[in-house]
Amino acid sequence: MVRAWWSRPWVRTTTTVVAVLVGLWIVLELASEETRNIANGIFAILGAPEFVKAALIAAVPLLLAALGGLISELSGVLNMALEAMMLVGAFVAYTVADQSGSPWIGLAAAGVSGLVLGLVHAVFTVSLRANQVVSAVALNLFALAATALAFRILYINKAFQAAPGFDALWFPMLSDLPYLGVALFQHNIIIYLALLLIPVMWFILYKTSWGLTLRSVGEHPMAANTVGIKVNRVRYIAILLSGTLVGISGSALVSASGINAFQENLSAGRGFIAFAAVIFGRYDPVGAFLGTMLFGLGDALQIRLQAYGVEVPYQLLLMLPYVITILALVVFMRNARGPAASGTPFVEEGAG
Amino acid sequence: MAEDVSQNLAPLKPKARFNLPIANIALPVLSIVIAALAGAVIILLMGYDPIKAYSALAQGSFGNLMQTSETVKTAVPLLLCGLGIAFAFQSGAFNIGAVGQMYMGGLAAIIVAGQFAGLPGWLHMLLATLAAFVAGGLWALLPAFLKVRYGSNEIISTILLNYVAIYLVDYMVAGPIKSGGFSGAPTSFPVLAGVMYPKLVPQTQLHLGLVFALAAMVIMFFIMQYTTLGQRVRIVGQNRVAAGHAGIRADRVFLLAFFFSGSLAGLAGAAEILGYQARLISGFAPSTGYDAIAVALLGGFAPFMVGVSALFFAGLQTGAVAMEAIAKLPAQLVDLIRVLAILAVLAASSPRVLEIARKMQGEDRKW
Repeated sequence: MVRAWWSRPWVRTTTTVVAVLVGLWIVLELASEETRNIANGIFAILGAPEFVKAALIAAVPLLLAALGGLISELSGVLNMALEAMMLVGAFVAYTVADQSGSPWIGLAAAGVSGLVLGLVHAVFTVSLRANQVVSAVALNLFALAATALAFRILYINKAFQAAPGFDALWFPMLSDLPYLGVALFQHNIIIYLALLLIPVMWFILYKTSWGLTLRSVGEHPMAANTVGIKVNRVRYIAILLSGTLVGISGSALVSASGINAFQENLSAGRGFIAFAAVIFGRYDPVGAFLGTMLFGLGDALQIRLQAYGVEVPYQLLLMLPYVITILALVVFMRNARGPAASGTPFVEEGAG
Repeated sequence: MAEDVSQNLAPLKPKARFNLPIANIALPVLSIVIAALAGAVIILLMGYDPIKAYSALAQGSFGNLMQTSETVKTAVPLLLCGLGIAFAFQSGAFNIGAVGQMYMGGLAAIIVAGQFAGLPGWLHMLLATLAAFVAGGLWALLPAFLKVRYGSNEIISTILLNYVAIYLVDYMVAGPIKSGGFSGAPTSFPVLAGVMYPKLVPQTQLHLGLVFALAAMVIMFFIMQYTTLGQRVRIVGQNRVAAGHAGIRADRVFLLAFFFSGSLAGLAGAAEILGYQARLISGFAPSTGYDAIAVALLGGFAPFMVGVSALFFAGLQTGAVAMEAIAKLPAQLVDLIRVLAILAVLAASSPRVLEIARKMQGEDRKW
């Protein structure tokens, strides 16, 4: 099918950006002196290296969750339980790091907790062929209740304490660069590992035979089965891997807070935003990264606007990341196409 | 083609379930028994007495008339949201945004019911209810429109809109509709005198909202069973393309189904505010809209069964308070048991378990 020239993604994106910039310029021309001062302040915020730094820190937990969601999604199983895995992972990472004194043990434990949740999701969605959305909704409710309960039992009588976290790395030369040093080269190790995972994931998904197997299972399970691929086994592996990654994203979420602390409902819908980022990132690791960066930028902007004292109530600023995500879904999802068998359980011939 | 996951989700309710109608009831009951047993194990592990806990739960939910009326009151928003979710599901879409739609309904209800003194009480009440109905419907129409027009996945957009609605209510009660006097938590101004729903039975919690909920249940049953609208909704839900070929404007039916789905949730918000809470508090119904998904699922998306399951989940909720008071269990433990019930119901209604059950039934026959 020949697409109309105006529906090409890059034309659409460029037009949108240009339109927004022109609109901003017109508004500023018409604005009063006072508004112009505020606008200058906002531009100062956006231009500071700390802004990019904060955006990256906010985006990385979502990036890990989105990459986890992507694996599951490509195998044909919706993983809306990202939120649950992230929250439980964050709680486990915090508690175990606090008890053991090592953030690495916390991270590993978070991965295991995500794996266990993934196993439950897999039993329900692959073996029992239950509805994938409802299974995830139940897991999300479970995570909210279980982490709140356990947190109260463990920490009710204790003073607030920060768990040991990952220290920021220092690269000779690079970290001293003007702008880039602060923005990119003073992060902790999790950030770099997560970013490294993008090309690794891309390679696994698109250049290895296991990646091809995974995608074929999500695209056409019947055909995959015919060539001897054990569809449900691949899906199990995908969901377990997904759970592990998303559990680790919880650890990243704890360390992204800067004070390495946990609180009830720490994830606050970030799992759902990561799920959305998989979709409007067009089921691609790089797309997922761009999608989560969009959230990171929105979040960093929101926090800075609050600190800057803009005359907008903070509750409305808190909405910003969610509104941006909805807009992104509308703008970028028009021609996105997910795995064909996404959401459908697979029944082997003769079995059952 | 836009990505469209809802169309090929696994069917939650296979058409021909069992030959014996008793099995339709036996499986959900069995699943709840299993959940209760699993819950007992957790209670034991946490060092409490499960028998004491469950008897407190039973006493607290249906022990006496007062408690029963409390349970029925709690069931009202669950039933309304559950019916809404069931209706949207019949049209082939998941509405996970009942939380947000309920919040918008509550917000609209308080904005109308807390101002405009001087209107006759019954008219004022009716207008506030209508405002909630429309607000919830419009909040649901937004993701439905995005789906129809732009192909945005409605599951994710309804969830994201929940957060937007929650923050909007937070903003409103802290600013524009803040109560005049001093209050601990951010609260809106109160509902004006005479605008609250009248009590159905004096000395109980039963209010007019119950009548709305029951009416909605009967009307939905009637629509789904006997009208062309219900027929069209079901056809669209089963196969959108075929519906188009049959001359049904699938998009229009879909939008309509979502509007009514949201407006029922909006009505639930009104029932909470006008029937009971009398003011809008930040976070006034944090999980009702999510629990309602389980309510709709347990009820097999059929109106009257949704009513029964709303009563069941409401019983768990009111019983939890008694469990906390009598057996000294933390309230979140009951949340866990509720989740176990949801998972058990999900397992019992899964195609795999139904297959096994059907096979066993077949063998029984031969025997």
